[in-house]
Amino acid sequence: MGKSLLIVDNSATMRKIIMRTVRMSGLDFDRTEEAGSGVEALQKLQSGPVDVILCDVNMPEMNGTELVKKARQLPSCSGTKIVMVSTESAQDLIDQVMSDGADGYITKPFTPEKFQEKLTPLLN
Amino acid sequence: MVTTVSLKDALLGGAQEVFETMVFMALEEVDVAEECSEDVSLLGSITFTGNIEGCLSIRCGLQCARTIAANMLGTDPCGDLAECDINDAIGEVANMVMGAIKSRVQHEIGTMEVSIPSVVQGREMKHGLGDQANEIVVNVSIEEQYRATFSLLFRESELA
Amino acid sequence: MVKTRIVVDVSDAKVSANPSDVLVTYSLGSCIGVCLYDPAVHVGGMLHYQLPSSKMDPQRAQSKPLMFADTGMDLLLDKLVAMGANKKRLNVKLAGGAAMATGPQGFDIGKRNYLAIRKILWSNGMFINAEDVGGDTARNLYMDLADGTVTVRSSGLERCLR
Repeated sequence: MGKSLLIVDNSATMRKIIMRTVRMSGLDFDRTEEAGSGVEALQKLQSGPVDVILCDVNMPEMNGTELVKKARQLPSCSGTKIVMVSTESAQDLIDQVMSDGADGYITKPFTPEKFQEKLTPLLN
Repeated sequence: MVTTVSLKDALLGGAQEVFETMVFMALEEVDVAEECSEDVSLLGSITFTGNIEGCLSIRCGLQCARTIAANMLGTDPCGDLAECDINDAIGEVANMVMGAIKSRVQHEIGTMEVSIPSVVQGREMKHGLGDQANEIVVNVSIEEQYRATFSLLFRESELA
Repeated sequence: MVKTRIVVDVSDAKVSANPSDVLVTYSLGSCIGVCLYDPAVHVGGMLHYQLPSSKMDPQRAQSKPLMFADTGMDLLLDKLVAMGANKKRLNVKLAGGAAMATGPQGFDIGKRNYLAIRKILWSNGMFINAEDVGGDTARNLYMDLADGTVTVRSSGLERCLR
């Protein structure tokens, strides 16, 4: 069965860059959705589970760290892989969001090769 | 307190890292701001709070911004990029440069909370932060083709 | 197997589908050597370009398109696709882009060359599988058409790019 992906970032440019990199990686997703904020992402998650979430940290309305905590409370998201993609690089923030339930962390700016190198092992 | 020298290095180094990694263009510092030959320019900015507070901005001409957006998206700069695509790309550049500055100085000045970037298009735009503010300006040449200006306006926070 | 060495000159590219061929280019300084190889059909090619963009000298680009990253890659990709390679399957390996002391000052052509190829690959949706770039020494680059193995020789040391 094909997998589903949700890309959460307030920048449409960044969502497109991430989408392009994922496609180039040959990662197989049947369904890809986008959300521009944590609130929008949570609405999508409540209407159905996804396999993988790629999520920014600094976003309007609800930020990525809040979204991780809320998503982990949803029974439908218990098996979801959540990978943060953010300009934030402070180690305590990374540690916090990982302990809140994120599975991986990629910092921006990234090369497509770096992105793939970090993402692929998390999803296999 | 962080010196303006190290902030300037962080600004230039951060901008170069972002441009080389995601815009595929080389930045070099130039001494004087050359008058932007383009009529319309873009100003992308992001504010921050913490022990120091202020605003980071990037200002460049519309053609320059169009090239930056196209490079980031892997498309043709002469193609149909909407104004909102170009603005969004410049906002994301400001966001990533801010992140790169933070990662270079946060061991000295602690954490900084950053805002969501905002971008405006216009003529002769300038930022201000009152009399108590310091400003670091870095003028750059982007592959001898374009000019852009990065500015870091900041003051020590009253709460600090 | 007796190998046939095919030399790729400066501002030149060669392609081959013969497993006994080895494509080789010498003295990559600030220039970049690009190796493309489709493992499914055993077709590969190598480009040795000098400058990042044909826009720097459009007239020259007309007569010597392989001198520039953009026009050079266009030609090489077209040629490989015509030989049956699939762009999405191509392995991409790079070497060169050094900051040579002999180059023009205040203009790091090696870095420019590297950024140019990264931009071209990104817009073509292609990853770099391996690279040996930067530094300040010259490199020789070899690609074995039998399996696409790429080797770099620099300062007397040999390294396989994987």
